Amino acid sequence: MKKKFLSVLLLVAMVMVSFTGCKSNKTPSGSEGSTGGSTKEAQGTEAPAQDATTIDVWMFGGLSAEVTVWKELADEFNAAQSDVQVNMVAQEWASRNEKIVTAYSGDSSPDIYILGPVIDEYGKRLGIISPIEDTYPKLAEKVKESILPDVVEKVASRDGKLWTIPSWCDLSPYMCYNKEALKAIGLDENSVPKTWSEFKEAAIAMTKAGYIGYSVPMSQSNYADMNNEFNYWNWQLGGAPISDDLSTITLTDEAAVTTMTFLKEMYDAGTFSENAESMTYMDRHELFFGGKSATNIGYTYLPGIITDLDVSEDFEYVMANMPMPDEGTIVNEDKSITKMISSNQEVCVSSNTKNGEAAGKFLEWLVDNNYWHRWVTEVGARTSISVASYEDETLRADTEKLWPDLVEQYDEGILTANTNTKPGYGGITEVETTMSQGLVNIITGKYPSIEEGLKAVNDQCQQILDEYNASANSEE
Amino acid sequence: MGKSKLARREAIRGFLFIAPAFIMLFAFIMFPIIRGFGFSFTDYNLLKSWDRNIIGFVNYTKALSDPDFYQVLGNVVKFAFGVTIVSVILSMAIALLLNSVTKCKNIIRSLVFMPWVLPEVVVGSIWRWILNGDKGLLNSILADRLQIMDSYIQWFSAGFALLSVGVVYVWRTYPFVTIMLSAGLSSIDREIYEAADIDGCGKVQRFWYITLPQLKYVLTICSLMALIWSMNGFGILNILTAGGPGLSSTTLPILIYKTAFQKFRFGLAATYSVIQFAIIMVFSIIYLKITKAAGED
Amino acid sequence: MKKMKLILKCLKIIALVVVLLIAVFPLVWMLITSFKTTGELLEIPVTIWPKNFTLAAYPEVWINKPFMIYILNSLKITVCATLIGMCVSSLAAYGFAKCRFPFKKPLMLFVLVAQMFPSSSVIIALFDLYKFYGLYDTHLGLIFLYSTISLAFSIWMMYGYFKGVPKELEEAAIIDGCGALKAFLMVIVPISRPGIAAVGVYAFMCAWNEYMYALVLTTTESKYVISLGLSRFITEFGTYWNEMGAASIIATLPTLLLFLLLGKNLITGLTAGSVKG
Repeated sequence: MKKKFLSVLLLVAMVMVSFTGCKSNKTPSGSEGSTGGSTKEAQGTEAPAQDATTIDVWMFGGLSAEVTVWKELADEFNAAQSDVQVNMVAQEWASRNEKIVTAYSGDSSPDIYILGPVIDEYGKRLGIISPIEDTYPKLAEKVKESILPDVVEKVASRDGKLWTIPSWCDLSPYMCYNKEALKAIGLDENSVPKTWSEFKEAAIAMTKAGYIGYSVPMSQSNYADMNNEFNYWNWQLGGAPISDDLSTITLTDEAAVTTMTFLKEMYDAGTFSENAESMTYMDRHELFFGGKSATNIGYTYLPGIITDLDVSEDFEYVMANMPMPDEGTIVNEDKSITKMISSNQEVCVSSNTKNGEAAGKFLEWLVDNNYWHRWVTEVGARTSISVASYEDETLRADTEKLWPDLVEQYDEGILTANTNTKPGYGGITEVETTMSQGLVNIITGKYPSIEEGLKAVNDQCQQILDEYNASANSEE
Repeated sequence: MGKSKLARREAIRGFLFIAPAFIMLFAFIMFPIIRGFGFSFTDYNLLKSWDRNIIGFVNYTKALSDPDFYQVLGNVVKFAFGVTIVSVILSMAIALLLNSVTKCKNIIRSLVFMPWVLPEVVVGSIWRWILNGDKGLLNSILADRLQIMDSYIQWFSAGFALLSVGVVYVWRTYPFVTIMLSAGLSSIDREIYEAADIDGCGKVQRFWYITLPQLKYVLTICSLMALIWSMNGFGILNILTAGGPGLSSTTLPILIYKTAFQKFRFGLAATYSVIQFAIIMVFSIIYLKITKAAGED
Repeated sequence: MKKMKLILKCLKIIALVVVLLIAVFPLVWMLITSFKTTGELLEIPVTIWPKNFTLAAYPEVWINKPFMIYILNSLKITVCATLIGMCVSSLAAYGFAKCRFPFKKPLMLFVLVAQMFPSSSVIIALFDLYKFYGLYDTHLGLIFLYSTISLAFSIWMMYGYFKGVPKELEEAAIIDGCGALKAFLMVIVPISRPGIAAVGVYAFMCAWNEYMYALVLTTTESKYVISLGLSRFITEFGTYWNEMGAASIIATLPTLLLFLLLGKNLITGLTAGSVKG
């Protein structure tokens, strides 16, 4: 009896072992010319390796044209030399956090990340990426010469040190209007609202005409939306939620009160969607292109979305500058910002990569080949940050065809003027989520007054910030 | 002498039979969970990973003294019990209905099972779209086409969110319970029913005194499973509302997830896991004791 | 009297139809949506029938996106997980049902306990454990995990079945000279085939639909399963409902096939087995 039982056990064990054959899976992936698995070498030695070193590159999100461009770049690089093979993986945007955090804590990070913003959270707080300038000083110099200086300073660096290579920048926000909605209230593309008050009136009028006049996407499943909208308006007044040295939260100043009053008045007047608390910026895009929302806030990626979502050519809209604060409301002229400069595709290097040299080769190739210009020639959305795109004759022709006004602004030297980085909130997500939920609560009237609400939110965020700063100091 | 040897042989045999299952359960679920439980006594925080201290029960006191936590617990109770009770009653009704149908039984049963066929991602996204307050199909049909309502209902507003999520989970849960109950129903001896008919039992009495007791085991297991599934429900909920607006549809798994992956407070997240486990455990023991399902030896 | 019966029958049919409609509706909606053009998806209010019926989403999903690979991966992982799960759980259920050994009740409760953890609790600690086991980013890792998560319910369900098998059959086998294992394989299993099949369906569905663990434990795109593949259609900027619809329909076909093939056996089998406590 026992013998028979043992023999069956053995059989089962054999069957299970045979499944280990399932481990290697060599089915062709999306990008040709790159190997499926990663055969990491021991160290990046000086002598050329017999087998190519494979590096994993994770890119997150992006327009569909961008996914194509990155795969192309990987293919071209792989074909151009045989020391390094790039395995370009397009990852989902929505779950990027889980993916990165768990990969890092399980020590299976890729070699290169392409996403943004990264520096404050993944770089300085979590230590998941390391600065380009530290690892590749010569490359950093080259990058600084090749791209717009404001992008270097505001997007890619902290304290003068280059952390990442941004691939493009978004200059945001712009206010987009549905042409039909404008017509319904007697306006057209030449008479869009120019001040906050005008905008509020217009929004209320458009709501009466049956549209969603202006709604902030308040869903907390994408908590950054509320904070971004708040900042777009608040910045114009010279306010800033977090101090530059990341130690103090300031939500109780005059600027914040003015901004929140402005937003709350529109909410109370009914310009917001009734579904605003579950709306994300994606929903707002869809509502805008579906003709239900009269306004939308867009970035230079908007043309890309229009292509991707196959928006009908009959849909007419106006993309205009954001309305400016009313006379005398600006609190701090010096700190008044009208545009945010950011990039969602910053190329950065993992801090625990074992293929530093190979990764460096790929980065060098990208920079040497002016990869930034592809966003002009192939993607047709975002803003190119390569100096050559504006200065070199042939490339400039491409850029002018696509964005003549941007080239003009470049010539006048105002392309990146008055811009500031996207706030990082010290890389502490909890501060962001608390602030976002707090602002939503203020707008929806959960506090007796705006001032009280702002004070409460301010204190909550400050408490969290203090906690993290205290332990950060204890580390040093 | 012989008796104890025999008993020992049987015991060993028993252990050998259950061994593979237990090895797997330990390696893949229990061991990580126990490690995770260990985290709950530390202040493990990914954003301060150099600074991991054992802090005893601080996490627990923090969790239990947080008023938001009690709101979440309230949601859990409402949601889990609501979904389970509705699912079980609905499934019972549908199972009875199914069993009284004579033609096309198999096709109908397959169709009833459909909600289980779609992956979570699709289910969550699709229902979010259908129930969307601005551009959803349900609102469009009810208000624009059938003109039953004047204006759109905001299915995901603070008042409705938990209800909407509950409805989706009932939709997702009832197929399996229905099939199980339906199978159980068909396996009840016809003779018992005939005997009852002869004795003059009415339909309701028949159901109450014969059908239900015969189904006791299946009913118990299925409803317990349904309860555990709904308490653990995460994927679909996350896509539908991510716990919002505010905390109105946040259940424990969502809280755990946000604490771990947004706030990076792994220690606190582990604490919530322990508390959830304790709740489910206590309830299961009470439930099983009451229904004496495990005691049939 | 006859009228009452007729009305009752009509009501029953109507109720059944309503139930089926609600059950099937999202799937049907996905089907209809897969025939729409991307542009049409933006319309508000939502259109019900496609304005321009098109099959363009299907080749897009099948050819341009590696959906075939995802389906094959899913099939492989799910089938393996189901088989392993069924074997392991029937062995365990048999042990619980027929053998006497100490601590049986606590052990059974332990099995139930393992089911009580949401994926968000397990995933954190599971992740670096998998690195340690060497199972990160492997199909084998997922197979083992998926077979484990459906174990608890499977064991409890089968326990009920096995308990209902009359003792005489077993004793007959033993008299004939079978060992415990042989008795199990030759006698019990064939009789309880329907119960095993039901449990198999449950295990299959759990593994097929699982998302969270697959998301975190796999990295290489070529190893992705269907649930991950489907989430790709929700991009940073919007959702491609038509492609997701096409992909969902394609992904549903294997399960539908399973039902068509096994359906009769499964369901009549479920009824034949005695489910007594």
